[in-house]
Amino acid sequence: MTINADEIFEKITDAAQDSFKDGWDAIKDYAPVEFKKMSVQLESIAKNVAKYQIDSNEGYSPATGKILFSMQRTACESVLVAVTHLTLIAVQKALNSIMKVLKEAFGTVLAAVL
Amino acid sequence: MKNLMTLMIFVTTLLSGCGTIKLVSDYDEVIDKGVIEFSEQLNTHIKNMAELGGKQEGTYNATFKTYNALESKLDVLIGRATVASEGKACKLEAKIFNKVSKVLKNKTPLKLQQGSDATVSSSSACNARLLALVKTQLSKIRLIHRETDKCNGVSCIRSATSEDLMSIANQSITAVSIVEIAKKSQ
Repeated sequence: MTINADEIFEKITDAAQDSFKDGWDAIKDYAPVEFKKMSVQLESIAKNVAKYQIDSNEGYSPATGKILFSMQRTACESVLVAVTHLTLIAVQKALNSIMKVLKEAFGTVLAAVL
Repeated sequence: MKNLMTLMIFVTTLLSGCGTIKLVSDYDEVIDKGVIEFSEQLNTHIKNMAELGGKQEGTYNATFKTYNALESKLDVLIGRATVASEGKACKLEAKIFNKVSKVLKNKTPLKLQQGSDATVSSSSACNARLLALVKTQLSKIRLIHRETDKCNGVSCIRSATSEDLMSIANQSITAVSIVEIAKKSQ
């Protein structure tokens, strides 16, 4: 009974790639959408403050705009913390897939030898 | 051959002892459902306020109890995540931490740190941080309602403000939800 390192390596790589891909796809879908929203929001804040300065019944005041801008900064932190968290989840998934492959590979070899 | 056998037994024992590797805390149904409820209540409140702008029912004084109730709901969720974090800080990957520090400058929270030694506790601390950020958003909405927005001379949430503030606040709320959904699906 021999251990085929190449075969195990291939299985590990496949397992890691498949598992990480699922998690990574979630990040790829999530992050750009949120960053796009941020740019749209910042543009909207500028427009609404400008509207208010022309007609105080429209848009909102610079004071409100300033608070909304600081809210956007907080939202940016939320997105970055979530991306970190999602990355960890993807890594955890990949690691556990690798462990599963290793368990199966070494379990089979041992069963054959013993 | 004997050495190889020993190695295989060692590796198998090691792997079976490890079980599964945990870098993040388990899915928490209480936080997941709690945030969804919070989101529904906050969105409804803001929509109502936008329609009541300029009327007595839409002033801050007439509605501050809603803010208190929403804040209490968040405090319960933050408390839950904080207990699970065992006092550890939320650690971000170095590159992301540097970006956050650039954005926040000297306002970077002490509870946010740079590091790669992810543990289930530090992951829970990130949960607590995400929820604390939602609370920060709520306090800023309260500030706008109480002090900066005016309709017919009384405190209000203007229609234009309501749209922008909900889009922004929902980004922070979604950040909590998306992490819990990802944990649930693994």
